[in-house]
Amino acid sequence: MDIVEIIIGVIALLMAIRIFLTRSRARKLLYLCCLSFCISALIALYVDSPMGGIVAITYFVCSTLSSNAIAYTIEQAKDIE
Amino acid sequence: MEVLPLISGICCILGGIGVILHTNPINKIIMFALLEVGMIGLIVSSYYLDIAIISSLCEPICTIILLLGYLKYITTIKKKKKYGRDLPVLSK
Amino acid sequence: MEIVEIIKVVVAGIICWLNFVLIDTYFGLPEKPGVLGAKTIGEKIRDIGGNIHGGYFMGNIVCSPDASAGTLLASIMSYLMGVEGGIIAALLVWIGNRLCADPGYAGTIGALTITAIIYLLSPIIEAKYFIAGMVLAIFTIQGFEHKYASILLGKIAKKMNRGE
Repeated sequence: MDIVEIIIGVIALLMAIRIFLTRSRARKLLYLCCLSFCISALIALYVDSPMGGIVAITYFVCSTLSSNAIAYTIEQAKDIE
Repeated sequence: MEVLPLISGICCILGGIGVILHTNPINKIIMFALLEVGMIGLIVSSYYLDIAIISSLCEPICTIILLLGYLKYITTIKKKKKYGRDLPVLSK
Repeated sequence: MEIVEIIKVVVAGIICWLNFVLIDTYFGLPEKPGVLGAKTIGEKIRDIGGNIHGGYFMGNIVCSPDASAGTLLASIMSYLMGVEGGIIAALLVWIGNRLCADPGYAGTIGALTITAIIYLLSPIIEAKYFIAGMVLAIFTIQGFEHKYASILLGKIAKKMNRGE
């Protein structure tokens, strides 16, 4: 095990627990963004070939799209109610 | 022990518990996103890279379909209170 | 031996933090919410006692891949493929930016500058430490304490004449 992987793993663990415990919906999205940074870095360090880089980029861009849709829906639901 | 399978497994377990425990629909969808994060990590840790690309491409589509259903649901609840006893659409 | 690696990670984190905060602030992220989702995150940050311009900055990072994503992905591809990888990452980040309905200058320029920095510093700090440094830098903004981070970002935005 590497010191780099250990640092990223500790941060990812902390983020997963904080997503579970926070009550506010908008702040959960901020923690989720930080967690997807960590997972994307871990994928690239684990696979260690150019295909792993492609997987990391595709995963990160798609998870950003998903966060965008969730934040848009929170705004719309606030307007309707 | 590698780091990526460990973190992905913890994310899967926490996401699964959170989908059951939270009651707000948006919170459920965010916890479902956490479950998908863990699932993609577990797929990558077994070196199925093509399946990981396909499932990470399909993940926002699933989330958008769920969110459209939620918006339709709350719009229907709001509109139902405005009509009176005789609905013009249903009474034809 | 471990101490040297930790010092390298911290120095790389400071370089990455300066890179993406300065580029994002220059391209006007704290001024206005680019997409509708960033507005609700900014107002939520203001409700817990932070600065609204820092809140818009955080919301724009969440809702579209900006210079922060460009920095991380370009350092990943530089670690795996060398200098060509950084240019490929810049192209893919630009496509992702256009998917989220952004102009996409910030992400591309952030990816290109971090590629140049890694190429210049490669005899001293390898690209692997830049990945951990970028995760550490995004942790100080998005994960540690939202109130004080947004106040700090608001001060930087005011000093660079973006916002207020």
